[in-house]
Amino acid sequence: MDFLNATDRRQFLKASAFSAAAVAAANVAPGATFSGQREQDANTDAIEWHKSPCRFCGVGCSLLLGIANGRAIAVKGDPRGAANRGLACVKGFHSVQALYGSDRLKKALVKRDGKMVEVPITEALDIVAAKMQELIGKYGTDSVAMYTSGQSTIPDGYAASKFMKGCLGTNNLDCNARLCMASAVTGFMTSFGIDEPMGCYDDIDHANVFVLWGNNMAEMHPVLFSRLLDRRQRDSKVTIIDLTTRLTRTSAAADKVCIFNPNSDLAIANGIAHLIVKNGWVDGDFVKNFTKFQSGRTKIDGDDGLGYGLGEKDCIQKENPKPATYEDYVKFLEEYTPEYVEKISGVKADDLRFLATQFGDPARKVMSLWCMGMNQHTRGTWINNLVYNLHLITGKISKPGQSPFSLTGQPSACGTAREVGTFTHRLPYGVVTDPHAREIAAKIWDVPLERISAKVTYSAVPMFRALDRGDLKFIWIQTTNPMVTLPNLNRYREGCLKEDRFVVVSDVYPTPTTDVADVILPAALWIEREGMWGNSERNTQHFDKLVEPIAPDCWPDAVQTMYVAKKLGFTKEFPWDEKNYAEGMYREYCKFQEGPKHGMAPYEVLKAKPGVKWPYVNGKSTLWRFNKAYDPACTNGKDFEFYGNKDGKATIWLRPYQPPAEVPDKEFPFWLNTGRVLEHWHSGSLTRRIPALHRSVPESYCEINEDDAKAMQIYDGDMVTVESRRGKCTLPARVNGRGRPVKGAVFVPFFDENYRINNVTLDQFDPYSNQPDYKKCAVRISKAD
Amino acid sequence: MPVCSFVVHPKAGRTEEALAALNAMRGCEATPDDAGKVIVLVCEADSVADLQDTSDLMNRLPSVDASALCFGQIDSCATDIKRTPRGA
Repeated sequence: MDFLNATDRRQFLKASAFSAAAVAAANVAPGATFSGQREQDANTDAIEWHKSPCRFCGVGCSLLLGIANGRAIAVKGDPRGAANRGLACVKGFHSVQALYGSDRLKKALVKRDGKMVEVPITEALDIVAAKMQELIGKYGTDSVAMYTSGQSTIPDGYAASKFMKGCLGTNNLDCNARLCMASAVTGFMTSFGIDEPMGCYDDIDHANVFVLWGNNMAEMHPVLFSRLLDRRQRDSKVTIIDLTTRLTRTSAAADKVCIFNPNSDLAIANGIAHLIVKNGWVDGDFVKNFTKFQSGRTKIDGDDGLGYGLGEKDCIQKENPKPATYEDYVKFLEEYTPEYVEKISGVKADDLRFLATQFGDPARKVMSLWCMGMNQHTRGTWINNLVYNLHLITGKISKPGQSPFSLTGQPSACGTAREVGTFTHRLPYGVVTDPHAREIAAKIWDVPLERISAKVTYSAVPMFRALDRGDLKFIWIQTTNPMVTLPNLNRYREGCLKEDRFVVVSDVYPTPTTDVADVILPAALWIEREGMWGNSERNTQHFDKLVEPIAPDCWPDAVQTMYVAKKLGFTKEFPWDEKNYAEGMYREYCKFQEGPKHGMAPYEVLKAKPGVKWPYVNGKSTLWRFNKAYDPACTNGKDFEFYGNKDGKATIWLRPYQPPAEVPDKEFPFWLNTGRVLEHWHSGSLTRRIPALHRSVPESYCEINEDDAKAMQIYDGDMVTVESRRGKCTLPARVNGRGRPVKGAVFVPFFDENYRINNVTLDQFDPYSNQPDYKKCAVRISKAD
Repeated sequence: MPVCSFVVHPKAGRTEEALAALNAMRGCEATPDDAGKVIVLVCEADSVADLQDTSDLMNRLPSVDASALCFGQIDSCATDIKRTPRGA
């Protein structure tokens, strides 16, 4: 802030800091006033504050960004924000610095004679278009693919979907949201026939029991976790239960901690259900009127087995549901006695009884929260179903404070990936296999119906396997860093580098993914263009272009896609220019979602407010879906209608416990778990360029249990090698750090490209969601020389 | 130098004790609300690591129940990270 001297600047910042906290205090402690505080002028004509969602996780905090002299210079939480009510976390507060890293990509680069050379972006995009045309002509439409992101804006995702599915006629489009919440989608779809949570963050204000299923919320969703703590502070009867495989900051704040063995959450959920049934705590009326029972495929091996996604050509499998009865369900649960579940999970039988009482007590309002622990799971769909079962059999669902709630990791995993449909199987409305959904898409896109393919092709991991095999020749990667984040990374990196593969990467910084690219396209970041994101609670937030891109050639992903599409002749399909595309695409996208079940807020409303939840019906957001009292889409006259299923009933699934794909043995005796830390977000390509965050956690590390470290004579800071059957990674040991694994387990954050722990992980995935399981594989640990 | 603010919840009946302890922390100015239920704490710190130390220290105070970060100032410079060589 050159326009202010140092003293003024500090006073200004302190006044802003005070104001932001005072507003937040008034939100968490209604009526709080600070009349004794000298009025400080935190406003100056030199700074303009504009709304925007945070760039990082799926909580979807609403921020106010301070813009001066064409640069973003300060951040405060927006007190109007539905998710954060004026709060933000350390990543959010430093987020705008991600715009100004010294190594921002400012020019397009193309590979010529083995070297990357700078060219104007239009020349690079011409090369991309020509290459796509050449390969499609030679090998067919299914030889090219796009791999996009849960960070893509709604227009970015919409442009990719329309281009690939409506113009080229291939479903070779998937995204990194496949890695973070695909199991939540298949969980919703199989239980309710429709995606995304029935409740919202307002549930936190009503619940008095919070069950965290393998979710270190204190670090991953810190603003929401602060709302849980605030809720508990105001009501001493509120209980936070941490079901976890390692001790974390969440455990430290929880009232009850239950440590379980990897994958045994399946048994725990069934064990709780067993006790609810046995003790007569089932809400009989709710179950009778609003649910049905089904069983599905359970065979692991063989031609008709589910497997763990390890087969070369494994891709999305179909369920084969069979009707069941309540009696079948009771019989199915018989074996999940507390003692049996204790044996599998390590959770004490009495703790299981405690958990069951929380769900079983009609006076307790229970909110289940989960994220990657349940979703990155080779039986991710099942564990989602099983947690829904607990809420369905007790009738604790679709009511304020009674919500099973899958949190997400990216700012628009919901808004873009799930809603616009940047998955291979999705269209903006419905799935590609549904003729009606294809008809709607063809009509709105004004393209021939036969152009929209009904064939589901590659999800994320199979897409990179296809590239490795050569079935795919071309991939365009936008706003994501798979060469850090894919499991069993060595294999897929080698695939990208093969001679006749063509890799295009649109990004804002050099990454290990741009390292394997033939063409690198510099992208506009966040508020350098207009956009919208949708968060975990169905809240869509619009942001304006607030600053110019760091360089003229940094184009939004949607504009890059649109340029190539037009170059290939699809001018009618993309009638917009770089100024009006965001509004135009959003308005067109809204046509797919019309109606009370998923109506989106009009563009003008979205622009005016910090965020608007869908379904948006008659000028009002629906906070709790499927409940007649709150949801105008319930029309059958009953109190609850799970209208995603034709019969209006939610499904209670009979899903058994099954062991993980790989378990520790003599050769590889440790469990490896991977994940995030508070200060860094995903592959770290943004947060590692933010000085304060980078200095706080400058590199990754391997958390080791104290007893294991002692036995191996490993001390904090020693270099250790984590090795699996697939690869190894040598990095510093962390003993008694912020996270403490149990004996026989280690944990490694994946944010650091210099320590690529995904060289070690297993490319296993859930057969229905195809979401990889990064939370468990077998490794050995040794002290490095 | 980062400037940050927190909403701090003192334990019931211990607001004065919390205020005294918070004001004694380096770079911190604590202000109670009129009812003495919550405190706004404005901090100047040298780095996020220092900020974390302040936060840890604050949360260990026996008179403090909980706290939440509310504002963060932005350094103007960016950082150069260590990257592995292209293709490594």
